[in-house]
This record gives sequence, structure tokens and C-alpha cells, in this order.
Amino acid sequence: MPDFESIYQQYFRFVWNSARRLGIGIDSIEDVVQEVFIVIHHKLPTLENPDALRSWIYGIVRRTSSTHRRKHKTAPEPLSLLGAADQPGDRGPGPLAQAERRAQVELLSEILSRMKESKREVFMLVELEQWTVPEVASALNVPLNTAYSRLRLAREEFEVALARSERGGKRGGPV
Amino acid sequence: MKELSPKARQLIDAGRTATDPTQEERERTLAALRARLGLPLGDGTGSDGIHHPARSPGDPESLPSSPPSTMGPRGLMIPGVVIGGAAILAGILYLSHPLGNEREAASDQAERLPPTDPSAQRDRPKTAQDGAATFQGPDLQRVEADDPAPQNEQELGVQSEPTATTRPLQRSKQAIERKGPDTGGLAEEVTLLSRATSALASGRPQEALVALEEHRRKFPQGVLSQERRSAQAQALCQAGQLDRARAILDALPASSPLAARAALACGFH
Repeated sequence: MPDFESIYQQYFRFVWNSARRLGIGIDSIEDVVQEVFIVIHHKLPTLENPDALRSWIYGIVRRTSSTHRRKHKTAPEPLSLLGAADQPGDRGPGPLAQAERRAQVELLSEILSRMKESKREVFMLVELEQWTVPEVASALNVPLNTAYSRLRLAREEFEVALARSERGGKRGGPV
Repeated sequence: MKELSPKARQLIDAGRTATDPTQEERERTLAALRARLGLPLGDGTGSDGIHHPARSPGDPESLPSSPPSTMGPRGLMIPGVVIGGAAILAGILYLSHPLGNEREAASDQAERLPPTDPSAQRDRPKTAQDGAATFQGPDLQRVEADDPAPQNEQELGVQSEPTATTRPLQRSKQAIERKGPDTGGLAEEVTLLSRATSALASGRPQEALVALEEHRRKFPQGVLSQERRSAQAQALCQAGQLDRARAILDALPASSPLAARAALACGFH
């Protein structure tokens, strides 16, 4: 069983990004991440299957994020995948490359935010976090076929939205 | 199942790391967790047992040490960001006074109680813990007298108290400050809190209280001030000063997990 410090080092980025993708805004993210790791610290001795550590942690992130939103009576924030690296004045390539990257991330956020939450969650875990579908099914506690079905529908929806956006861009609409 | 197109894949690749936390956010969260959980320091500690965030000009996680170029689309945003940041900061400083609540004031008062006032000790009824307590805390009255009153928050390099009401503002201010090159204040806060929690974990409450008092003097409204109060209450309990510990805990927000943890450690539940 890994110790708490190792878990923190290994999973901090994952916890942070997952909470952001579950609709926790930048104002609350540090509080939520702290709460997640406090729960992990307290519950670690009760973890039955260390092989499923990542799924277990994701389950804690989901519940903590949901509790945080309920407690503060806030709806999930509109999904924004823009992070610190997208702020002006930060490190990175030249201004043009930064602007292009920012536009891509904004478009990705827009497409994902229009997706139904159940499909989006599967899509993000598979495509952004590169989980396997069985692992996602286990983490979300849904049948394997359901997870595959959601992923298929989410991919189709994503491609349609991307194509629509490109057509709009050519007509002078949003990129 | 149909795979994603290359264009879709490119978009996803751009978003994969977009929300990544910075190294500073990683370190700050770890420091706060260590303080809240009373954990000893782990890897990344120096010979003095204290965490020193590594910063070098070539470090991709380093904060910018020089102003960014004002050329190009990004550069054009800089004046707006500076002006906006200054306006937000001014708003925070303006709002922080009327929003200061009685609980925070009471907490400050509780923290400032002299630990070993002989008359108070005489007047106070004896408790079971008194017999076991031989702790002599730091001379708070003396250090307060030596400590000039803070002129303003910027001078102190500290941030507003993270109450429920001011937290969003405080986060905005933190976001502004984390863009700046000076992280010395936070690093020192972390150092002091880490020293205190290590001492607490080793059963040395007096040493913990000295570090916490130093933190209170330097960062009365610091980012980790609630963590400080929680640790201070635990140290006082270890030292047998239960009344003072209870006064500090009473001044923390009732819903605070820090207060709950300290109360549990003190056996108040």
C-alpha cells in the first residue's frame, strides 16, 4: 500500500484536473483538492483493493465535488479547461502559438460543456486521462456496455460539434 | 468503435494539460494539508528539515521573474490585467475591513492571551490537567510589544482572512499574487507552520507554540492563519492549557474541519 505522501505526489495533478473538469471553479479548487486528500488520508487504511487506487480516488473526487457544490448551493460552473498556463504573462511559446492553443482549449471546453454530463465524464476519462473503458465503468459503477455506449455517443457528438464549429469558422463565426 | 479524427485528437491533446496546476499550487496545497493533518515533512526537505521550493530561471514551473513582452496580442492584454488587478486589490482592501467579523476578532483575542499570566493562573480554579502541566509558553506580551503594528497587507505580504464571505475575493487576490515573483511570504508561512506541526507531532508543544507565535506576529492575517489557530489549540492542549485551547477553538468557525480536528485531538468531544 503506497503511503499518503506518495499518493499525493502521484495523484495531485489527477485530482486537481478531475475536480476542475467536474465543474469546480478556480476560486474553490484548492479547498476541494485539500478536502479530497483529507478524505484519502482518513480512508486509506480501509482501501481494500490497492490495484483500484485510481478509481477509488476518482470516486472521492466526484463525491467531494458534488458535496462542495451542494453545500455552497452552486451549480457546476460552465466547463472551462483554461488553466494557469493560459493566463497572459505566463511561460510558453510565442503569442501566436499561445493564442492558437487558447482558441483550441476554448473550443474544446465549449463542445464538452454542451455534452450531457454522463457522456462527458466517460469521454473525458477515456480521451483526456486515457483510462480504459472497463476502468471507467468500474469507477462510475456502471455496466461495461453502458460505458462503451456512452463513449461511442460522446465521440459521435464531439465530431459533429467539431465539424459544425469548423463550418461556422469558415463563415466567420466562432472558431 | 469508431476512433476520433486527427482534428478531434489535436483538440483533445491541447486540452489535456490545460487545467494542470502549477508547481506553486502543488506546494501550497501540500503545505496546507500538512498543517491540517499534522503531518511531518516528507521528501523535498532541506537539511534544516524544511521544505524549500526549488526555483531556477530555466525551471518551466518557475514563476515569471521578468515582465513579459508587451509585443503581440498577449502583450496588449498586460495593461488591462495590471489595471484590473489593481482595482480588484483595492476592492479587497476596502472590503476586508467591513467584512471582518466578530468571530475573527475573538479568535485574534484568544490567540493573544498571555500563556502564563501568574495572576490568571492563581485566580483560575484548579483542573485535573493543571497538575500535569508544566509548560511555560513564549512571552507573548513581550513579542507583541516589540512588534510594530502592520501598516498594510501589501507591506506584510499577507492575504485576507479566508472567511466564507471573503474567500472568492481572497482567491482572486491570490491569483494576482501568484503571478508575482515574490513568494517569500508564503514560503515563510509554510516554514513556520511546518516547524510547528513537526514539533507537535513529536510531542514538543512549547516549541510548536514558539513557531506559531512567530507566525502570528509576522502573518496575523496570513493564508495559513486558521491552520495556525488549530495547531495552536492542539499545542495548548498538549501543554495542559485547556481553557486557552478552548477559547481559540470557540473562535474558529463552527463548521471548520480544522476546529473539529483540533477539538478531537484535545478530547473536547
